[in-house]
Amino acid sequence: MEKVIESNPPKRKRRRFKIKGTSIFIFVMLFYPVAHFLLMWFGVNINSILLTFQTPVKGKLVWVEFKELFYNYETLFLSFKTSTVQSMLKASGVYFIISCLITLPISLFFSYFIFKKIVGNSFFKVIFFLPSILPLIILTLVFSLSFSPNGLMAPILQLFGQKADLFIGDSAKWMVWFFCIWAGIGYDVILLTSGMSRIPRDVLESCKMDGVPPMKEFFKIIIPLTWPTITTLFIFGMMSVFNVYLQPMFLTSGMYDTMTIGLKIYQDSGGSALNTPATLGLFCSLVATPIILTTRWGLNKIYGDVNY
Amino acid sequence: MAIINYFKNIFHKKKMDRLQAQYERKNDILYKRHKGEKVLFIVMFIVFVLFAISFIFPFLWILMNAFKTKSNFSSDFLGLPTKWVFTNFIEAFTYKSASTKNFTIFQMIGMSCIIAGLGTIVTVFTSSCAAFVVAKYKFPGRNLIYGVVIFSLIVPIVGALPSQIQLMNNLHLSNTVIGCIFLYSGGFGSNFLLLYSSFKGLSWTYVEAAKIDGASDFKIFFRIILPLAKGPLIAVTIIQLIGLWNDYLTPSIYLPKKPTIAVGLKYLSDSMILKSNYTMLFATIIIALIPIITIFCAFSKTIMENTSVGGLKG
Repeated sequence: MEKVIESNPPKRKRRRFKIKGTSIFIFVMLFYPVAHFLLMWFGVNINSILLTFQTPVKGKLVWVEFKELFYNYETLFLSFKTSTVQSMLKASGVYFIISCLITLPISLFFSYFIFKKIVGNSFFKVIFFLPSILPLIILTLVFSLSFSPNGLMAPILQLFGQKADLFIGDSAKWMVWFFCIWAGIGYDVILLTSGMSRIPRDVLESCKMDGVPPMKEFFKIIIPLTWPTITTLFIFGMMSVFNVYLQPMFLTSGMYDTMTIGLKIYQDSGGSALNTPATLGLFCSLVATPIILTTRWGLNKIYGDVNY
Repeated sequence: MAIINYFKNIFHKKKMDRLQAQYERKNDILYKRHKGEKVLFIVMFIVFVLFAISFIFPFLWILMNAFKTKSNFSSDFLGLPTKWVFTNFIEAFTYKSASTKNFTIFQMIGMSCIIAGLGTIVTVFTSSCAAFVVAKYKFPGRNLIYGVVIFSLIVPIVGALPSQIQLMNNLHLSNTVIGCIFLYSGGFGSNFLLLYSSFKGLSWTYVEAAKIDGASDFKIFFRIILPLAKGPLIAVTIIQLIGLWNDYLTPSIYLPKKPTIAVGLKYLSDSMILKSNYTMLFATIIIALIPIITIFCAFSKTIMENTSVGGLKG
């Protein structure tokens, strides 16, 4: 009996120590990531909201007066009536068509053939990987140099009577869009092929045994089973309306109707009047969030959860 | 001799693997095609070849012209060089001007090594710390952390940049290498999700055995968990390294005076185009391609097998 009483206290001590040790471990491991997240996500986003209620006076941001609390928003809404902002909104909106309605369907179709191991698929996969691994500046340089009047494409362009620089004037925006499709296909194909590679082999085998034609297999089997990846890429495509800025910046410096919301925010962030890009950004977030979340919810509803 | 044998073995193994794959493919029911299907696949093959040409030819054209003299390029921009010269590469290595912040391409690559290298190490470490604890330990707030992280990745935030710039200025981290690395060092990005799922699938048996032997949690993490998760960690590291190497946004805003290669290449190209020195620009592009192509060739299998949504930025 005495022995039992003696052996109890050290046991409790050890247990307490263990819990304490694990708690310290959890605290130490999470401290920096959580602190960083709180500062750089919550802090930054709260500060973004606060910035929309400030205005620059002599190069310094000060709070707006209470009677003019929504001064920045009013200025933003007024700017929507100007032709430059309207052109910017239109140019940004086009990226929804480019990303979601052109690049994504083409990529989906291409991915199917890569997934079905078309002859040379390993080589083509490397080609499709190039836009993901190369810096965008290199891709845009190579693209713009190739289409310059002294470029690789010059003889072909001359056949169509095109001798001028395509990155100047009305053709500039078409070149930016063409670049986005050309480079965007590779990025989407890689992610879609990776999504398709998770489809179980027996499903495809039974399709083959039943003699399902390729296009029927594509629409009835491949698309529903790759739906989560397609949904994510569709959402990414919708986000590009607000995010695209490097392509027009590198190719046309945002001129010739190629200015986008993302580029405008990037350029204006270089100045001292940070309230203007912050207000535009917050307004876009408020507009984008419900649209994108609803779209995501709707798209997820189409085929439901894919479990295999 | 041993090195030659080593490479011989590697090439032999690769050849055998290729033959095996070819044999398997030939006899696989999944890849047996009817006549109509064959036509469709031939058409698509031609489309893919054209697409591949559209990617390869511009780079070959740039490579070829990098070996031309200025006059040779202006007189014939499509033909082969009349005389193959390396002066463009030599000049490109030492070229600097006020618009390139007096940085040569070599120094820019050095800056990229420091920033992308350190940034990758720090972010992969913080992500693995956070992912391991959230995936494997039960503590109050665990679900909240996971939920908030997912929420932050789903909600589209547009234009947080002005606020971030203000915050970084207030913290006196702008124009510093530390500032850039600090921005990259977050542990709750897409890396967190990738590592979370791989840690979640790790067996807990080794950990239990180590706990019985009296190992501390830190020792378990460093000595057991990290070696066990070596595969996913290497994949995440390489993908992150490529992402940070190519990143333009952060260094262009927070380190404009010490350009990394992604930012510096813009400075170099603007400056060279202004001086109409295209042949040197071609050589510069080729030099800038070498590090990234080397990484891709060395780790192509790891990169291609581990790319998933959110894992690799374009």
